[in-house]
Amino acid sequence: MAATPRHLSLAHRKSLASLALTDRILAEFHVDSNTDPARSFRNSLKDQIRLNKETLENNATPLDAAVRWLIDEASSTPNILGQDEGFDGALTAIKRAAASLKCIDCSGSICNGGAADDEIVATRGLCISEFMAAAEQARRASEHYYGTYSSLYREAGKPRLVFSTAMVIDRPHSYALELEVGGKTRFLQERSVRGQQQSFVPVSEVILQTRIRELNRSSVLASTYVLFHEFFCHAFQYLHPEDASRVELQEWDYFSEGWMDHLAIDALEEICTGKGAPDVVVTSDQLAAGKEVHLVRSNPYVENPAPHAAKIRMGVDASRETRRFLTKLLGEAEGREAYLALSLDLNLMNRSPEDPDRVVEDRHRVVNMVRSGLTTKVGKVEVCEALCDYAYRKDSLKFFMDIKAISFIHLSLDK
Amino acid sequence: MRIAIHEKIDIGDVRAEMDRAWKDLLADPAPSGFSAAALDELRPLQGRQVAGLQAEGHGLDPLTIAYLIAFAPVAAEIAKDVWTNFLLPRLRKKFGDDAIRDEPDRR
Repeated sequence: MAATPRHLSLAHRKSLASLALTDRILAEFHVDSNTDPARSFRNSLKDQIRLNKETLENNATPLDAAVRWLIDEASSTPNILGQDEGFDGALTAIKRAAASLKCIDCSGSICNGGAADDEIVATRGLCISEFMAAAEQARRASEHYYGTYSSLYREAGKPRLVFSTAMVIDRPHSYALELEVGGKTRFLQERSVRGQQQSFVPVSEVILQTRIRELNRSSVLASTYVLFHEFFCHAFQYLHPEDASRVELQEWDYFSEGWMDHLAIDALEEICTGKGAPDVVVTSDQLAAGKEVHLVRSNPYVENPAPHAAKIRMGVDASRETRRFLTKLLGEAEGREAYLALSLDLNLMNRSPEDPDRVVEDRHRVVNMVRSGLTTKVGKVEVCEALCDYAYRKDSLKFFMDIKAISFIHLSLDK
Repeated sequence: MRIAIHEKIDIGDVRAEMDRAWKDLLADPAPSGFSAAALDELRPLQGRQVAGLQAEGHGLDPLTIAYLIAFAPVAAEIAKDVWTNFLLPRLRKKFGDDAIRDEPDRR
Protein backbone atom coordinates (compact mmCIF):
# COMPACT_ATOMS: atom_id res chain seq x y z
CA MET A 1 0.00 0.00 0.00
CA ALA A 2 1.36 3.46 -0.90
CA ALA A 3 2.25 5.71 2.02
CA THR A 4 -0.14 8.63 1.87
CA PRO A 5 -0.40 11.58 4.23
CA ARG A 6 -2.92 11.21 7.04
CA HIS A 7 -4.42 14.23 8.65
CA LEU A 8 -6.63 15.33 11.51
CA SER A 9 -10.31 14.50 11.07
CA LEU A 10 -12.61 17.20 9.71
CA ALA A 11 -14.18 17.69 13.17
CA HIS A 12 -10.77 18.16 14.79
CA ARG A 13 -9.67 20.57 12.07
CA LYS A 14 -12.79 22.70 12.64
CA SER A 15 -11.75 23.08 16.29
CA LEU A 16 -8.09 23.61 15.53
CA ALA A 17 -8.70 26.19 12.80
CA SER A 18 -10.90 28.34 15.06
CA LEU A 19 -8.43 28.23 17.97
CA ALA A 20 -5.32 28.78 15.85
CA LEU A 21 -6.93 31.67 13.97
CA THR A 22 -7.94 33.30 17.27
CA ASP A 23 -4.49 32.93 18.82
CA ARG A 24 -2.70 34.17 15.71
CA ILE A 25 -4.75 37.35 15.57
CA LEU A 26 -4.54 38.00 19.32
CA ALA A 27 -0.75 37.77 18.94
CA GLU A 28 -0.77 40.11 15.93
CA PHE A 29 -2.69 42.64 18.02
CA HIS A 30 -0.28 42.08 20.96
CA VAL A 31 -3.15 40.95 23.17
CA ASP A 32 -2.08 38.58 25.94
CA SER A 33 -4.40 35.59 25.69
CA ASN A 34 -4.10 34.93 29.43
CA THR A 35 -5.66 38.21 30.49
CA ASP A 36 -9.33 39.22 30.42
CA PRO A 37 -11.24 39.59 28.15
CA ALA A 38 -9.14 37.48 25.75
CA ARG A 39 -9.11 34.62 28.23
CA SER A 40 -12.93 34.73 28.53
CA PHE A 41 -13.25 34.63 24.76
CA ARG A 42 -10.85 31.69 24.40
CA ASN A 43 -12.53 29.78 27.22
CA SER A 44 -15.90 30.38 25.62
CA LEU A 45 -14.55 29.12 22.29
CA LYS A 46 -13.20 25.97 23.96
CA ASP A 47 -16.58 25.47 25.70
CA GLN A 48 -18.35 25.73 22.36
CA ILE A 49 -16.03 23.09 20.96
CA ARG A 50 -16.58 20.79 23.95
CA LEU A 51 -20.35 21.24 24.11
CA ASN A 52 -20.98 20.98 20.38
CA LYS A 53 -19.03 17.83 19.62
CA GLU A 54 -21.88 16.30 17.64
CA THR A 55 -22.47 19.48 15.62
CA LEU A 56 -18.76 19.60 14.72
CA GLU A 57 -18.82 15.91 13.78
CA ASN A 58 -21.59 16.58 11.28
CA ASN A 59 -19.57 16.25 8.09
CA ALA A 60 -22.31 17.91 6.04
CA THR A 61 -21.27 21.26 7.57
CA PRO A 62 -18.10 22.44 5.83
CA LEU A 63 -15.17 23.62 7.89
CA ASP A 64 -15.42 27.30 6.97
CA ALA A 65 -19.07 27.50 8.09
CA ALA A 66 -18.26 25.69 11.34
CA VAL A 67 -15.38 28.07 12.13
CA ARG A 68 -17.57 31.12 11.50
CA TRP A 69 -20.29 29.64 13.71
CA LEU A 70 -17.87 28.85 16.55
CA ILE A 71 -16.36 32.33 16.46
CA ASP A 72 -19.82 33.94 16.36
CA GLU A 73 -20.98 31.87 19.32
CA ALA A 74 -17.88 32.70 21.36
CA SER A 75 -18.21 36.40 20.43
CA SER A 76 -21.57 36.55 22.17
CA THR A 77 -19.86 35.94 25.54
CA PRO A 78 -21.13 38.67 27.90
CA ASN A 79 -18.85 41.53 29.01
CA ILE A 80 -15.96 40.91 26.67
CA LEU A 81 -16.33 44.11 24.65
CA GLY A 82 -15.50 47.60 25.86
CA GLN A 83 -12.90 46.51 28.43
CA ASP A 84 -9.76 46.53 26.34
CA GLU A 85 -9.36 48.50 23.13
CA GLY A 86 -6.71 46.11 21.83
CA PHE A 87 -8.96 43.11 22.32
CA ASP A 88 -11.94 44.85 20.71
CA GLY A 89 -9.86 45.46 17.59
CA ALA A 90 -8.56 41.90 17.65
CA LEU A 91 -12.07 40.47 17.92
CA THR A 92 -13.18 42.44 14.87
CA ALA A 93 -10.17 41.05 12.99
CA ILE A 94 -10.89 37.49 14.22
CA LYS A 95 -14.45 37.73 12.91
CA ARG A 96 -13.20 39.16 9.61
CA ALA A 97 -10.61 36.38 9.25
CA ALA A 98 -13.22 33.72 10.02
CA ALA A 99 -15.55 35.24 7.42
CA SER A 100 -12.81 35.29 4.79
CA LEU A 101 -11.79 31.64 5.37
CA LYS A 102 -13.18 29.81 2.35
CA CYS A 103 -12.70 26.07 1.90
CA ILE A 104 -13.18 26.47 -1.86
CA ASP A 105 -10.00 28.61 -1.96
CA CYS A 106 -8.00 25.71 -0.50
CA SER A 107 -7.56 22.87 -2.98
CA GLY A 108 -10.61 23.28 -5.17
CA SER A 109 -12.47 20.45 -3.40
CA ILE A 110 -14.26 20.75 -0.08
CA CYS A 111 -13.66 18.24 2.71
CA ASN A 112 -16.67 16.13 3.69
CA GLY A 113 -15.14 13.76 6.21
CA GLY A 114 -14.54 11.12 3.53
CA ALA A 115 -11.49 9.27 2.33
CA ALA A 116 -10.48 12.11 -0.04
CA ASP A 117 -10.03 14.62 2.80
CA ASP A 118 -6.42 13.66 3.55
CA GLU A 119 -5.39 14.39 -0.02
CA ILE A 120 -7.28 17.71 -0.05
CA VAL A 121 -5.52 18.77 3.15
CA ALA A 122 -2.13 17.56 1.88
CA THR A 123 -2.50 19.65 -1.29
CA ARG A 124 -2.83 22.93 0.57
CA GLY A 125 -4.47 22.57 3.98
CA LEU A 126 -5.65 26.15 4.64
CA CYS A 127 -7.33 24.99 7.87
CA ILE A 128 -3.96 23.87 9.31
CA SER A 129 -1.93 26.39 7.33
CA GLU A 130 0.64 27.17 10.03
CA PHE A 131 1.46 23.48 10.53
CA MET A 132 1.64 22.95 6.76
CA ALA A 133 3.97 25.94 6.41
CA ALA A 134 6.19 24.71 9.27
CA ALA A 135 6.45 21.26 7.65
CA GLU A 136 7.33 22.80 4.31
CA GLN A 137 10.03 24.96 5.94
CA ALA A 138 11.52 21.92 7.69
CA ARG A 139 11.34 19.69 4.61
CA ARG A 140 12.99 22.24 2.31
CA ALA A 141 15.64 23.17 4.85
CA SER A 142 16.58 19.55 5.63
CA GLU A 143 16.72 18.61 1.93
CA HIS A 144 18.95 21.63 1.32
CA TYR A 145 21.34 20.78 4.16
CA TYR A 146 21.62 17.06 3.36
CA GLY A 147 21.84 17.77 -0.39
CA THR A 148 24.52 20.46 0.01
CA TYR A 149 26.75 19.22 2.82
CA SER A 150 26.49 15.44 3.19
CA SER A 151 28.79 13.41 0.97
CA LEU A 152 27.06 10.11 1.85
CA TYR A 153 23.68 11.54 0.84
CA ARG A 154 24.75 11.47 -2.81
CA GLU A 155 25.03 7.68 -2.61
CA ALA A 156 22.14 7.14 -0.19
CA GLY A 157 18.60 6.13 -1.09
CA LYS A 158 16.50 9.29 -1.34
CA PRO A 159 13.50 9.08 0.94
CA ARG A 160 10.00 10.11 0.02
CA LEU A 161 8.98 12.54 2.75
CA VAL A 162 5.36 12.45 3.88
CA PHE A 163 3.86 14.90 6.37
CA SER A 164 0.91 13.87 8.53
CA THR A 165 -0.96 15.37 11.46
CA ALA A 166 -2.64 13.55 14.34
CA MET A 167 -4.62 14.37 17.45
CA VAL A 168 -3.49 12.97 20.79
CA ILE A 169 -5.26 12.72 24.16
CA ASP A 170 -2.18 13.05 26.37
CA ARG A 171 0.54 15.67 26.07
CA PRO A 172 3.01 14.07 23.64
CA HIS A 173 6.09 14.66 25.83
CA SER A 174 7.04 14.98 29.48
CA TYR A 175 8.87 18.31 29.47
CA ALA A 176 7.93 20.93 32.05
CA LEU A 177 6.41 23.12 29.36
CA GLU A 178 2.92 23.96 28.13
CA LEU A 179 3.88 22.52 24.78
CA GLU A 180 0.88 20.89 23.14
CA VAL A 181 2.63 19.53 20.06
CA GLY A 182 5.03 16.67 19.55
CA GLY A 183 6.56 14.84 16.64
CA LYS A 184 7.39 11.34 15.57
CA THR A 185 8.77 9.77 12.41
CA ARG A 186 7.80 6.38 10.99
CA PHE A 187 9.97 4.47 8.54
CA LEU A 188 8.03 2.79 5.74
CA GLN A 189 8.86 1.24 2.41
CA GLU A 190 7.06 1.62 -0.87
CA ARG A 191 7.32 -0.96 -3.62
CA SER A 192 8.27 0.41 -6.99
CA VAL A 193 8.00 -1.78 -10.09
CA ARG A 194 9.71 -0.80 -13.33
CA GLY A 195 9.40 -3.45 -16.03
CA GLN A 196 10.67 -6.70 -14.51
CA GLN A 197 12.56 -4.89 -11.81
CA GLN A 198 11.16 -4.38 -8.35
CA SER A 199 12.67 -2.04 -5.80
CA PHE A 200 11.73 -0.46 -2.51
CA VAL A 201 11.69 3.28 -1.92
CA PRO A 202 12.30 4.40 1.65
CA VAL A 203 9.53 6.58 3.04
CA SER A 204 9.74 8.76 6.14
CA GLU A 205 6.38 9.78 7.51
CA VAL A 206 6.77 12.77 9.83
CA ILE A 207 3.76 13.10 12.12
CA LEU A 208 2.96 16.27 14.03
CA GLN A 209 0.85 15.36 17.04
CA THR A 210 -1.27 17.93 18.84
CA ARG A 211 -3.71 18.27 21.71
CA ILE A 212 -6.26 20.42 20.01
CA ARG A 213 -8.38 21.95 22.76
CA GLU A 214 -5.27 22.80 24.79
CA LEU A 215 -3.44 24.32 21.82
CA ASN A 216 -1.78 27.70 22.46
CA ARG A 217 0.20 30.19 20.41
CA SER A 218 3.62 29.16 21.69
CA SER A 219 2.93 25.54 20.70
CA VAL A 220 2.00 26.58 17.15
CA LEU A 221 5.22 28.62 16.95
CA ALA A 222 7.30 25.78 18.45
CA SER A 223 5.92 23.33 15.87
CA THR A 224 8.58 24.65 13.45
CA TYR A 225 11.37 23.49 15.77
CA VAL A 226 9.56 20.19 16.47
CA LEU A 227 9.40 19.56 12.71
CA PHE A 228 13.00 20.69 12.15
CA HIS A 229 13.95 18.09 14.76
CA GLU A 230 11.95 15.35 13.01
CA PHE A 231 13.20 16.16 9.51
CA PHE A 232 16.87 16.81 10.37
CA CYS A 233 17.28 14.15 13.07
CA HIS A 234 15.02 11.32 11.88
CA ALA A 235 13.61 11.62 8.35
CA PHE A 236 17.03 10.94 6.78
CA GLN A 237 18.29 8.42 9.31
CA TYR A 238 19.77 5.08 8.21
CA LEU A 239 19.64 5.72 4.46
CA HIS A 240 23.24 4.72 3.70
CA PRO A 241 23.99 2.19 2.32
CA GLU A 242 20.92 2.27 0.12
CA ASP A 243 20.22 -1.47 0.03
CA ALA A 244 19.94 -1.94 3.79
CA SER A 245 16.45 -1.82 5.24
CA ARG A 246 15.63 0.72 7.90
CA VAL A 247 14.38 -0.69 11.15
CA GLU A 248 12.40 1.31 13.72
CA LEU A 249 14.75 2.20 16.51
CA GLN A 250 14.30 0.16 19.69
CA GLU A 251 16.97 1.86 21.71
CA TRP A 252 16.80 5.49 22.70
CA ASP A 253 19.44 7.28 20.66
CA TYR A 254 21.15 10.31 22.12
CA PHE A 255 23.20 10.96 19.02
CA SER A 256 20.04 11.85 17.09
CA GLU A 257 18.28 13.35 20.14
CA GLY A 258 21.25 15.43 21.30
CA TRP A 259 23.97 15.94 18.69
CA MET A 260 21.56 16.21 15.77
CA ASP A 261 19.05 18.26 17.75
CA HIS A 262 21.78 20.83 18.32
CA LEU A 263 22.38 20.87 14.57
CA ALA A 264 18.63 21.31 13.97
CA ILE A 265 18.35 24.31 16.30
CA ASP A 266 21.54 25.77 14.78
CA ALA A 267 20.02 25.38 11.30
CA LEU A 268 16.82 27.07 12.50
CA GLU A 269 18.90 29.99 13.77
CA GLU A 270 21.02 30.20 10.59
CA ILE A 271 17.88 30.27 8.46
CA CYS A 272 16.24 32.85 10.72
CA THR A 273 19.24 35.12 10.22
CA GLY A 274 19.21 34.58 6.45
CA LYS A 275 22.35 32.42 6.28
CA GLY A 276 21.00 28.88 6.08
CA ALA A 277 18.89 27.78 3.17
CA PRO A 278 17.65 29.92 0.30
CA ASP A 279 13.87 30.33 -0.04
CA VAL A 280 13.20 29.18 3.53
CA VAL A 281 12.03 31.82 5.99
CA VAL A 282 11.89 31.33 9.75
CA THR A 283 10.60 34.14 11.98
CA SER A 284 12.27 35.23 15.21
CA ASP A 285 9.12 34.15 17.12
CA GLN A 286 9.42 30.62 15.73
CA LEU A 287 13.12 30.56 16.63
CA ALA A 288 12.49 31.83 20.19
CA ALA A 289 9.73 29.25 20.79
CA GLY A 290 11.98 26.50 19.43
CA LYS A 291 14.96 27.53 21.53
CA GLU A 292 12.86 27.42 24.68
CA VAL A 293 11.85 23.81 24.00
CA HIS A 294 15.38 22.84 22.98
CA LEU A 295 16.82 24.28 26.20
CA VAL A 296 14.28 22.59 28.48
CA ARG A 297 14.66 19.17 26.89
CA SER A 298 18.45 19.34 27.09
CA ASN A 299 18.84 20.89 30.54
CA PRO A 300 19.35 18.37 33.34
CA TYR A 301 19.68 21.12 35.96
CA VAL A 302 16.08 22.41 36.01
CA GLU A 303 13.67 21.40 38.78
CA ASN A 304 11.88 18.70 36.79
CA PRO A 305 14.30 17.77 34.01
CA ALA A 306 13.06 15.90 30.97
CA PRO A 307 13.81 12.18 30.99
CA HIS A 308 17.15 11.62 29.28
CA ALA A 309 17.97 15.37 29.61
CA ALA A 310 21.49 14.53 30.84
CA LYS A 311 22.13 12.28 27.85
CA ILE A 312 20.63 14.78 25.42
CA ARG A 313 22.95 17.36 26.98
CA MET A 314 25.97 15.14 26.32
CA GLY A 315 24.98 14.94 22.66
CA VAL A 316 24.39 18.69 22.47
CA ASP A 317 27.75 19.46 24.12
CA ALA A 318 29.62 17.09 21.80
CA SER A 319 27.93 18.61 18.76
CA ARG A 320 28.63 22.21 19.80
CA GLU A 321 32.24 21.49 20.73
CA THR A 322 32.86 19.68 17.44
CA ARG A 323 31.61 22.69 15.50
CA ARG A 324 33.75 24.99 17.66
CA PHE A 325 36.83 22.78 17.19
CA LEU A 326 36.45 22.52 13.41
CA THR A 327 35.75 26.25 13.09
CA LYS A 328 38.89 27.06 15.06
CA LEU A 329 40.88 24.69 12.90
CA LEU A 330 39.50 25.56 9.47
CA GLY A 331 37.92 28.99 9.84
CA GLU A 332 34.22 29.93 10.09
CA ALA A 333 32.91 28.88 6.68
CA GLU A 334 34.94 25.73 6.11
CA GLY A 335 34.64 24.61 9.72
CA ARG A 336 30.86 24.93 9.53
CA GLU A 337 30.76 22.89 6.34
CA ALA A 338 32.98 20.18 7.83
CA TYR A 339 30.82 20.01 10.97
CA LEU A 340 27.63 19.75 8.92
CA ALA A 341 29.09 17.08 6.64
CA LEU A 342 30.34 14.98 9.54
CA SER A 343 27.07 15.21 11.50
CA LEU A 344 24.73 14.58 8.58
CA ASP A 345 26.87 11.67 7.35
CA LEU A 346 26.90 10.03 10.78
CA ASN A 347 23.13 10.38 10.97
CA LEU A 348 22.67 8.78 7.55
CA MET A 349 24.67 5.66 8.37
CA ASN A 350 22.58 2.54 8.58
CA ARG A 351 22.81 -0.20 11.10
CA SER A 352 23.97 -3.66 10.29
CA PRO A 353 20.96 -5.95 9.76
CA GLU A 354 22.77 -8.63 11.80
CA ASP A 355 23.31 -6.32 14.73
CA PRO A 356 20.77 -3.49 14.46
CA ASP A 357 21.63 -1.74 17.71
CA ARG A 358 25.33 -1.72 16.97
CA VAL A 359 25.60 1.58 15.12
CA VAL A 360 23.55 3.27 17.83
CA GLU A 361 25.97 2.00 20.47
CA ASP A 362 28.89 3.07 18.28
CA ARG A 363 27.43 6.52 17.83
CA HIS A 364 26.95 6.82 21.57
CA ARG A 365 30.63 6.04 21.96
CA VAL A 366 31.43 8.75 19.41
CA VAL A 367 29.36 11.23 21.44
CA ASN A 368 31.09 10.23 24.67
CA MET A 369 34.58 10.30 23.21
CA VAL A 370 34.19 13.60 21.41
CA ARG A 371 32.58 15.21 24.43
CA SER A 372 35.24 14.00 26.85
CA GLY A 373 37.95 14.88 24.35
CA LEU A 374 36.76 18.40 23.66
CA THR A 375 35.05 19.58 26.84
CA THR A 376 37.35 18.40 29.60
CA LYS A 377 40.61 20.05 30.53
CA VAL A 378 42.36 16.73 30.12
CA GLY A 379 41.47 16.77 26.43
CA LYS A 380 42.13 13.47 24.77
CA VAL A 381 44.81 14.00 22.17
CA GLU A 382 43.63 11.08 20.03
CA VAL A 383 40.14 12.56 19.65
CA CYS A 384 41.55 15.90 18.55
CA GLU A 385 43.88 14.11 16.14
CA ALA A 386 41.01 12.09 14.68
CA LEU A 387 38.99 15.29 14.22
CA CYS A 388 41.99 17.06 12.64
CA ASP A 389 42.48 14.12 10.33
CA TYR A 390 38.78 14.23 9.43
CA ALA A 391 38.93 17.99 8.82
CA TYR A 392 41.50 17.55 6.06
CA ARG A 393 40.26 14.27 4.56
CA LYS A 394 36.49 14.91 4.97
CA ASP A 395 35.98 11.18 5.25
CA SER A 396 33.20 10.57 7.79
CA LEU A 397 33.40 6.79 7.53
CA LYS A 398 37.09 6.85 8.37
CA PHE A 399 36.48 9.23 11.27
CA PHE A 400 33.75 6.94 12.58
CA MET A 401 36.08 3.95 12.45
CA ASP A 402 38.98 5.89 14.05
CA ILE A 403 36.90 7.17 16.93
CA LYS A 404 35.41 3.71 17.49
CA ALA A 405 38.91 2.24 17.61
CA ILE A 406 40.02 4.96 20.06
CA SER A 407 37.03 4.31 22.30
CA PHE A 408 37.83 0.59 22.37
CA ILE A 409 41.39 1.37 23.43
CA HIS A 410 40.15 3.66 26.20
CA LEU A 411 37.56 1.14 27.33
CA SER A 412 40.17 -1.61 27.54
CA LEU A 413 42.58 0.70 29.42
CA ASP A 414 39.85 1.57 31.90
CA LYS A 415 39.32 -2.10 32.79
CA MET B 1 -4.29 -9.63 19.00
CA ARG B 2 -4.43 -7.39 22.06
CA ILE B 3 -4.93 -3.66 22.30
CA ALA B 4 -5.23 -1.13 25.09
CA ILE B 5 -7.80 1.64 24.98
CA HIS B 6 -7.21 4.95 26.80
CA GLU B 7 -9.43 5.29 29.84
CA LYS B 8 -10.88 8.57 28.56
CA ILE B 9 -12.43 6.74 25.60
CA ASP B 10 -15.89 5.21 25.93
CA ILE B 11 -15.90 1.67 24.52
CA GLY B 12 -19.50 2.19 23.35
CA ASP B 13 -18.32 5.10 21.19
CA VAL B 14 -15.54 2.91 19.80
CA ARG B 15 -17.97 0.14 18.86
CA ALA B 16 -20.40 2.62 17.28
CA GLU B 17 -17.57 4.15 15.23
CA MET B 18 -16.49 0.67 14.09
CA ASP B 19 -20.01 0.04 12.79
CA ARG B 20 -20.10 3.40 10.99
CA ALA B 21 -16.66 2.86 9.48
CA TRP B 22 -17.58 -0.61 8.25
CA LYS B 23 -20.77 0.69 6.63
CA ASP B 24 -18.73 3.42 4.91
CA LEU B 25 -16.24 0.85 3.62
CA LEU B 26 -18.98 -1.35 2.18
CA ALA B 27 -20.70 1.65 0.61
CA ASP B 28 -17.47 2.72 -1.12
CA PRO B 29 -17.63 1.53 -4.76
CA ALA B 30 -13.82 1.47 -5.00
CA PRO B 31 -12.44 0.89 -1.50
CA SER B 32 -8.75 1.72 -1.41
CA GLY B 33 -6.59 -1.28 -0.55
CA PHE B 34 -9.38 -3.91 -0.57
CA SER B 35 -11.09 -5.76 -3.38
CA ALA B 36 -14.90 -5.84 -3.32
CA ALA B 37 -14.73 -9.64 -3.69
CA ALA B 38 -12.56 -9.93 -0.59
CA LEU B 39 -15.04 -7.90 1.43
CA ASP B 40 -18.08 -9.84 0.17
CA GLU B 41 -17.65 -12.68 2.64
CA LEU B 42 -17.77 -10.24 5.52
CA ARG B 43 -20.59 -8.14 4.06
CA PRO B 44 -23.43 -9.48 6.28
CA LEU B 45 -21.50 -8.58 9.45
CA GLN B 46 -21.36 -5.39 11.50
CA GLY B 47 -18.03 -3.69 12.12
CA ARG B 48 -17.92 -4.92 15.70
CA GLN B 49 -18.38 -8.48 14.42
CA VAL B 50 -15.60 -8.14 11.86
CA ALA B 51 -13.26 -7.33 14.74
CA GLY B 52 -14.91 -7.84 18.11
CA LEU B 53 -13.55 -6.21 21.25
CA GLN B 54 -13.57 -8.36 24.38
CA ALA B 55 -12.57 -6.68 27.64
CA GLU B 56 -9.62 -8.35 29.30
CA GLY B 57 -8.88 -6.13 32.28
CA HIS B 58 -6.46 -3.33 32.86
CA GLY B 59 -3.57 -2.67 30.54
CA LEU B 60 0.04 -2.13 31.38
CA ASP B 61 -0.60 1.26 32.91
CA PRO B 62 -3.61 2.55 34.85
CA LEU B 63 -4.70 4.81 31.98
CA THR B 64 -5.59 1.96 29.65
CA ILE B 65 -7.99 -0.96 29.55
CA ALA B 66 -6.90 -4.03 27.63
CA TYR B 67 -9.07 -5.68 24.99
CA LEU B 68 -8.69 -8.82 23.01
CA ILE B 69 -9.69 -8.53 19.38
CA ALA B 70 -11.62 -11.49 18.06
CA PHE B 71 -11.78 -11.55 14.29
CA ALA B 72 -14.78 -12.89 12.40
CA PRO B 73 -14.28 -16.66 11.98
CA VAL B 74 -15.21 -16.33 8.31
CA ALA B 75 -12.35 -14.83 6.26
CA ALA B 76 -10.33 -14.03 9.37
CA GLU B 77 -7.30 -12.90 7.37
CA ILE B 78 -9.38 -10.31 5.50
CA ALA B 79 -10.98 -9.24 8.78
CA LYS B 80 -7.50 -8.79 10.27
CA ASP B 81 -6.46 -6.74 7.25
CA VAL B 82 -9.59 -4.58 7.56
CA TRP B 83 -8.81 -4.01 11.23
CA THR B 84 -5.14 -3.09 10.68
CA ASN B 85 -5.46 -1.00 7.55
CA PHE B 86 -8.89 0.55 7.88
CA LEU B 87 -10.68 0.30 11.23
CA LEU B 88 -7.70 1.00 13.50
CA PRO B 89 -6.46 4.09 11.56
CA ARG B 90 -10.01 5.42 11.49
CA LEU B 91 -10.48 4.90 15.25
CA ARG B 92 -7.15 6.61 15.97
CA LYS B 93 -8.08 9.51 13.73
CA LYS B 94 -11.34 10.07 15.61
CA PHE B 95 -10.30 9.31 19.18
CA GLY B 96 -6.59 10.18 19.13
CA ASP B 97 -3.29 8.73 17.97
CA ASP B 98 -2.69 7.49 21.51
CA ALA B 99 -6.27 6.30 22.11
CA ILE B 100 -5.61 2.72 21.03
CA ARG B 101 -2.29 1.06 21.58
CA ASP B 102 -1.02 -2.34 20.53
CA GLU B 103 -0.32 -4.54 23.53
CA PRO B 104 2.08 -7.48 23.44
CA ASP B 105 0.36 -10.85 23.34
CA ARG B 106 0.30 -12.76 26.61
CA ARG B 107 2.63 -15.72 26.76
